[in-house]
Amino acid sequence: MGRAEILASIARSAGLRPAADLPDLAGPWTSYGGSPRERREAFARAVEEAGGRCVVVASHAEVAERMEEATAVIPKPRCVSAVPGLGDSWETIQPSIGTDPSTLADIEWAVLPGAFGVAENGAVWVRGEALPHRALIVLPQRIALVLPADALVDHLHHAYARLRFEGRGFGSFLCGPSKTADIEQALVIGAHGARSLTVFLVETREPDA
Amino acid sequence: MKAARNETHASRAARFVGDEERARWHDGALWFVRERRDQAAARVPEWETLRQRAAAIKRHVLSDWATYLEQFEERAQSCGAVVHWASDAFEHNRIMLRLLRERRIERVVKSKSMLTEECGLNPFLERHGIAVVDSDLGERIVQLRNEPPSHIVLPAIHLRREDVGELFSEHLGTPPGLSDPEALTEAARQDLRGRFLAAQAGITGVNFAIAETGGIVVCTNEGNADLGTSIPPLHIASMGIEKLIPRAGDLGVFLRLLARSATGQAITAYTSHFHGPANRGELHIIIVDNGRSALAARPEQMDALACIRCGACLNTCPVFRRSGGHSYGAVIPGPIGSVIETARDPALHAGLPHACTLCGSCRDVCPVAIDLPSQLLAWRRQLVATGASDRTRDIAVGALGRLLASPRAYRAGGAFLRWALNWTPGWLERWIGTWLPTLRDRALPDAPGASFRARYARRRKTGIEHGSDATGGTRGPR
Repeated sequence: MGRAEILASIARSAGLRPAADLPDLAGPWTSYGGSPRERREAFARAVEEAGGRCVVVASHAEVAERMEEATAVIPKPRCVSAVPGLGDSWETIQPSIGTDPSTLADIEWAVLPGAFGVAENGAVWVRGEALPHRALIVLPQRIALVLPADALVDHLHHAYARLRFEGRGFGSFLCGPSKTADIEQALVIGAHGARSLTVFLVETREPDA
Repeated sequence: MKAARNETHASRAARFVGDEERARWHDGALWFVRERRDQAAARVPEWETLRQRAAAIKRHVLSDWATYLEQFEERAQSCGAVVHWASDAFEHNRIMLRLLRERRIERVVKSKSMLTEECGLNPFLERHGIAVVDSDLGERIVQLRNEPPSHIVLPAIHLRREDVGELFSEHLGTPPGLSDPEALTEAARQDLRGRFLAAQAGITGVNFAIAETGGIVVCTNEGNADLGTSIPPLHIASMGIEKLIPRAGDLGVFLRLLARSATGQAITAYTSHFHGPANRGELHIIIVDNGRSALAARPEQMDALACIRCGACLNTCPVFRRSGGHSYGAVIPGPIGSVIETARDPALHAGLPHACTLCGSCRDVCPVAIDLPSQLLAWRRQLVATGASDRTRDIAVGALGRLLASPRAYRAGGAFLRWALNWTPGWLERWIGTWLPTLRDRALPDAPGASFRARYARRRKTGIEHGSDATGGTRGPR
């Protein structure tokens, strides 16, 4: 039916499309300084350009402090964390196959783990397995991503050299808050996803929780 | 708002430019996006290498297409996705309907997919009692206005904020007169949030399908594709057969090109990679041909299949900028649309390859280096050969061709023209301007004193340039 017809149609004209080599993945890709510090600066600039904020902190404890400040409003909004060690006032959502995403709809702040960041564009790779539910990348009003300060790569080519897609799974590059320019090209931050995105680069590596 | 079959791009464009102020505004808005693309590309020293690399990857895929399609299917299935194949739009829509009906689904959210536009999915589902809400803000706007998108990336670029304000006041209850983009976006956010939470299925397109891993990649700035696929338990992804790339590593090339070419951003806010369904969820992928394999059988246009739907060619095209997407009367407008839509229906779209000045700007900005002007030119030749071209134009061009091919006719024609330019009275010029567009806003030029041929001959004989000539004109080129 559809499949056979399509493959037959392709086969009929295959002679018109001579063999063409598959190019190599390697290339003259620009590095971002080469030193971790330059990479970090390029990354931070790219995050800001995308409408996000990039904050370098010394430890997870400092992340917790900053987040306390950010959420010190009354009444305290619903704040969840998928990153361990943020403190008792942070609700931890257990990964559960049965989580109904609509129960996540009233979350104001979510702190999520980032695997690594990309210096050329300010994107952070977020692994689905590290999230209690993948809706957490879009449902909360505000998002903070936490990743080690040395977990930065130069560009997307290095990013994909690092990523392994084996079998079922989900992952996403998040870059800045959600945005749109669909109304008269006027940039509006906060379309359907997060209204704000903060990236915390943590300098000391925490032992795995 | 379907265009009448006897309308052409030219007639619709004439109406568009009739509103000079709006046409100028539209032109500026799109050029602004083109400039942002330029700024982003300039910051990537290896930009040209990326373009050539992307073109080579796509060419390679098409040279071993069946292998990659089968590999993608097998890998996607091993990730737990269900893969369907649809030869045409009708099959695609029927598969969609069946999937939704089997699960008794009545409420669907959809993120941007030009393929589903091509298939006329929304009206089809509506006719069968299924409500589809387009969740991309621009798409939502045109959906509420009951009109097609006018641009493949910026669906509502033809609208002013006041238009959107009026629309939202009617449909979303915003205060009349409110036209602030932030406030309007906030209103849409609130309205759509409820719809995401109530949706029973999410339909997306596919930006890239990775053959080696069986994954699909969806890029958005708004987060609507992620909301639409993480909340409801069913995700249906429609992909064209040309969306394949061989390896995950190839995304390094394509993702670096896509957002920069489309909007001038380094990358979109969300670039989600789906390998199989979510826990307790379902992922169905519909692989669609709908004319793509036919396009691949056209040696002079097959490279158009490399298109990654960035919209850069639309933004730069002087004709698109000054006529708007709706003038094309096709799902995909602009330079790329003029190539691929003409393949879909040569009789209906025979005018589209002529909606082009052959300036070449589209070729220069295309991230996958598609030589659009050559493809459009090839179309013109092919359409004339099959008799699908405009008769008047063919006669005129044929006559011009004969004139240019005969040195005597050419010289006589030139002499006549030089005389006529000097002789034509103002009233005649104006009358000609009423039916000859070239003269509508321009005055006739001054006649040169002598033909280039005459001047060159004289110069060779005497070594002197003369300002005057034997035909009586006293004005000459400066």
